[in-house]
Amino acid sequence: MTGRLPRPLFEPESAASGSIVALSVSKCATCGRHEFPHRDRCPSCRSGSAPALLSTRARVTAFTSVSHPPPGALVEVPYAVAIAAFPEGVSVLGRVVGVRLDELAIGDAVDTVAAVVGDAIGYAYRLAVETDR
Amino acid sequence: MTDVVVAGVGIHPFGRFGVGYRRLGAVAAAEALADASLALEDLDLILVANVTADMAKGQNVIDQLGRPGIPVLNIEAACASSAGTLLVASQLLASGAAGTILCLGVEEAPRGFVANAGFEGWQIATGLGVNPVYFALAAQELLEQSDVTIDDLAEVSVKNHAHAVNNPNAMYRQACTREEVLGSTIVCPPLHLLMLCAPNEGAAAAVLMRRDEARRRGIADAVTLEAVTVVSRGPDDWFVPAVSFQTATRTSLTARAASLAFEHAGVGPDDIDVVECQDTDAASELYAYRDLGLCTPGDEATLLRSGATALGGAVPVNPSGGLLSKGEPLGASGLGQLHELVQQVRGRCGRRQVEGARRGIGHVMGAGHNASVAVVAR
Repeated sequence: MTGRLPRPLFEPESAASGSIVALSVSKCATCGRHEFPHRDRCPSCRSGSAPALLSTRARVTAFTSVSHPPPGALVEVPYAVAIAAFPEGVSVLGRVVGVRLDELAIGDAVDTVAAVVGDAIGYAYRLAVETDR
Repeated sequence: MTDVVVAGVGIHPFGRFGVGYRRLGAVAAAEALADASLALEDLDLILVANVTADMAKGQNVIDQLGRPGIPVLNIEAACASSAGTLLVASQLLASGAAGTILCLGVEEAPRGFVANAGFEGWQIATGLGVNPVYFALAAQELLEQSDVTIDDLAEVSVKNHAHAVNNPNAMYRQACTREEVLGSTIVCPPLHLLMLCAPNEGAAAAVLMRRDEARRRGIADAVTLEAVTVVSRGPDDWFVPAVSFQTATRTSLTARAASLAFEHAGVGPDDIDVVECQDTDAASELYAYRDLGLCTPGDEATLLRSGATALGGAVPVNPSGGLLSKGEPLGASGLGQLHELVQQVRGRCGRRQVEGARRGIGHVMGAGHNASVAVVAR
């Protein structure tokens, strides 16, 4: 297992670690459903789907953590994993970086960011600093 | 499907033995054949459920018993593999395409981390390819969205371990206390080690035929397989190894499998006396309460706390001790449940017997989005 990610999951693809990115999704031309990772056909209505980008900000709806290094993982333990709900109606699992587990709460706003994964760059979430509600 | 019966069952205890999957499977298969008073050569077809062994695994097991030359096919649907054998067997029997079928589930799971659950390479590399993460997230959702507490999760483990004291085929046969469960290592919060099952080794088998064939052979204690359903991923399900789902419309594989099974069997949840469900983790059992129709959504904690799902209650769940006590030999799980349910409705479960059990359901779920519900009755 190398650190190479097979296709772009987010844009910009060459983002520097820590910078905000948008997950690459598909949006159904007929029913508007968003899917991550992107797919050619909508699983709901089977119409053709076109590439789109998700909003970069989402809300944490659940979270947990991993303390024992899973085989093949190129990230350090312990790390937090969250379900983040995006405004487009899709929820996506992601690692949460730069946070202790006791700092996370359901309802927290997160930004999607580029993050180091071995010798490659993947996506992760980072707590957003909200200046207004 | 009410014309299909289970004519015999067999099992190899679940645990850690190091004898190899061929031996595990051969023991269970031989016992099932003996229970049905059948020879290997009396079978038309053998279906073998397994996830982790090498190619032609079923063939390698059967070779331990004989060389009948009949079709041996391997079926895999992750932890729902056993259900796949039952589905195919029941449909072939109902159509008359086959007369006697052996369904065998066998597994010698590697220790520790369940690998090859279908995650993409990037999920594994970024730390998202971890099965207990999925169970933990769902457990937290249950804690947040219902009155289920961490004590309730512990109580599921306590209940099932207490049941296993009377199951010689379970790996862990010691009772435990709530304090011991909550004192065990936190694996992925909120789930503690004693709230999670361990993959292990084991095998279970069943001989299936039509009722008229069982009568012709003079089999006195055949049990009816009233229904077996298998469902796979619909547009709005979420399970291992999916990385995303539709926020507002998440559906339940188990609920669909159960609804179809009840429809095929012509019964409802109130007609069920005993349940063997997929308690890969404590929260999964509570989700099964709602998805199998044992309670309405939101009443899972109430049902558990009432004692209804413990031995002696109105609808005992996992009298075998469940996966939490038996461990999970992936491909053998569903047939292990069938073994328990058949023995329950036959009245052969000794100190873990559910009094007066006449109808039971089994429930398994597998990675890749698979779920199955089977209904047996006597």
